Amino acid sequence: MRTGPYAVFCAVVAIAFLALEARGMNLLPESRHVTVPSSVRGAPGGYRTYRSWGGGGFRGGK
Amino acid sequence: MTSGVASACPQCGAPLRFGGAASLAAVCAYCRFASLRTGARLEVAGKVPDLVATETRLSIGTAGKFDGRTFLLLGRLQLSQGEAVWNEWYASFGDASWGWVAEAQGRLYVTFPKEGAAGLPPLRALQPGMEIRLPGVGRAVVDELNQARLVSFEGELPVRPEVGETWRYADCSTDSGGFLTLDYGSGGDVVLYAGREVGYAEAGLADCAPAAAPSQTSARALRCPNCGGPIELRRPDTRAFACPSCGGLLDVSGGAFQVLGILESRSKPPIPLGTRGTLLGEALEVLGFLVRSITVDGERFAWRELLLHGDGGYRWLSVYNGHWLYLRPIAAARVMPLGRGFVYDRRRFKHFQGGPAQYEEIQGEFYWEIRAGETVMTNDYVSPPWLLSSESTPTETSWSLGQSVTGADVWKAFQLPGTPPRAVGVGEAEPNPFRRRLAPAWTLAGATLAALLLLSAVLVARAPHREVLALDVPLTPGEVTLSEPFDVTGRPQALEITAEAAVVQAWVGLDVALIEEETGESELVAFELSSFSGVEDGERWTEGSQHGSAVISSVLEGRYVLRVEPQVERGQGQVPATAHVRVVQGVFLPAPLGLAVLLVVAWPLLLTLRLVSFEKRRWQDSDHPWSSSG
Repeated sequence: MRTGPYAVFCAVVAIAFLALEARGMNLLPESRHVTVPSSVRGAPGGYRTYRSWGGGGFRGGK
Repeated sequence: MTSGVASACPQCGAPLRFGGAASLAAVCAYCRFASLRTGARLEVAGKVPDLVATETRLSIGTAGKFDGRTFLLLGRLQLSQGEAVWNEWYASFGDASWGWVAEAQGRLYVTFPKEGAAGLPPLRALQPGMEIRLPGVGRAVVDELNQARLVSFEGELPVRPEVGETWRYADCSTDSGGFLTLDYGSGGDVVLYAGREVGYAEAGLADCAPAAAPSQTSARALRCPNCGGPIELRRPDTRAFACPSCGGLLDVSGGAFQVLGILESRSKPPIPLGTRGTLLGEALEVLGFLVRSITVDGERFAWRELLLHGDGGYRWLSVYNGHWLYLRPIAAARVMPLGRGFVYDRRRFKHFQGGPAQYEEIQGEFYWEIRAGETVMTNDYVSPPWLLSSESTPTETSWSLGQSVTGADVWKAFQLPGTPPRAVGVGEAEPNPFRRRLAPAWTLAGATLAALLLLSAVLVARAPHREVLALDVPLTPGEVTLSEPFDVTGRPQALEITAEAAVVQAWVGLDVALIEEETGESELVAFELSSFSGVEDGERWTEGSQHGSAVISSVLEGRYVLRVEPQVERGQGQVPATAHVRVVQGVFLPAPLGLAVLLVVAWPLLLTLRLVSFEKRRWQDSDHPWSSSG
């Protein structure tokens, strides 16, 4: 890569960085996406009893 | 210009003139008897042998100039080292001073006697290549220690010559381009002659300059005394010639050719002898071809060299494994030692390789008395694309400056057919192709990183970092906590959820869901909050963290609730009643910055690795492989 193309590359990286920050896009996903059905959302206490949260699968510590 | 004392030859009565104020002897042009002047009296000193034919174009009566002063050549000495004969011309200047004008390898050397120079070193203290300090001159380097025998002379002379007399001398150079001769005579007092090299044109003797690239018709067409085959000498100062027909190595420095031996030549010159071309702006003709070798730890390294001649004098082309070097001689005094290397022209050269190099094959003509099997001590120092090469014999040390050129350059310069053989490996002075790209790449990378850091600082400073929820979550197993709805506003942005609980020797897990009330789109994260410590094998240990955080990308504007479901393992430890959970909107994300930094430095880092690899390959065949060469 010559200096010219590398300069363009650096500019693209800087712009991409700005775009990611502006959109608040984390490159390393730290969350899992779930869509809660409307039936759950509409039912009183539905959020508490809905079984598909998945959780962290915690099995305890020490 | 001269005082001009007219007299008559005491031997034959022919007119004899002492034109120079310093002239002590004169040879009669008619009877060839020498006369010595003692006051007004002349005495006959004997008959002088005939002059040896040389190719000089200077002659008695030739006028020239040096540093703005005109001179007239009044006589000459013919001196010899072995069979080779050269001329030292006696030059008389208009101010009654005098000097010597010597011709060697297509150059002129003008020197003047330094009367009364004291503190000159004795001959036995000198060695070729050594540095000396001379009064009134300063630093000088001994280039050659040798002796010369007086063969003949003519005209007037400022000395009382004796044919057969032998002088010992040391030729030196200074870093300002000066040329010195320490004349030890035949064992008497030492006389210092100081001056410098001068071009024929500068001396007003352009018409007397040896032909730089003689035409084929001007080359001397002769016959080999061994096989009778035709031979052609292209240079007037050629001393040795290898016959292409029989391989006979001929001494051609005297009038009659002498066969010195029969050579075996198996190699073909990469450029045919006699080929002419222009390389790096110099018009050149190929005169000779050598195969030379050096043996290091039982391994033989052979390379090929071509002797060339052009406007600037003699030049060399050396090729090893397809890597070419164009070399020209330089003054030893301009090469300054520094550590294990040398400095020349403010450039530092590191020692690369050295050892005794042997002439294995000889073809063509040479300006010195070359001998097959002869060995000289060579040392190469590199500062790509340049190379310094020293060659030492017991009597002489010479230096050359080489410049790396490509095979394509050579082929183009001499208009050779086809393409040059492909270069193998890395040449000792081959420029590192990554070096010139590395500095701009790192400069650009540095500038980009600085810009990224600056942008990051601005983004951190301007990030809203607004807390949209703070919640105390009861740490009761199975008890789910739902927050009150809260609003996330503005453009899509990152949301950071943090959780804290002062657990001791216990573990708490939190399953957290951020739920968009209207759509049900949820992001799930999990935290482990724990703190354990103990002592094992006498060493204290701790692990876990009472704090956890996670970032959720590009959260859209909307109304959200947070669902938190704890899991608790209390054991023997302590778990607080609640964990504190916060949601912060508009945080700065470090991951894009980290990725950007990695991407930006990747290219210069790759170039650096390739540069290092290239240098490692360059030095692996040197006397200083990479590990020790630094």
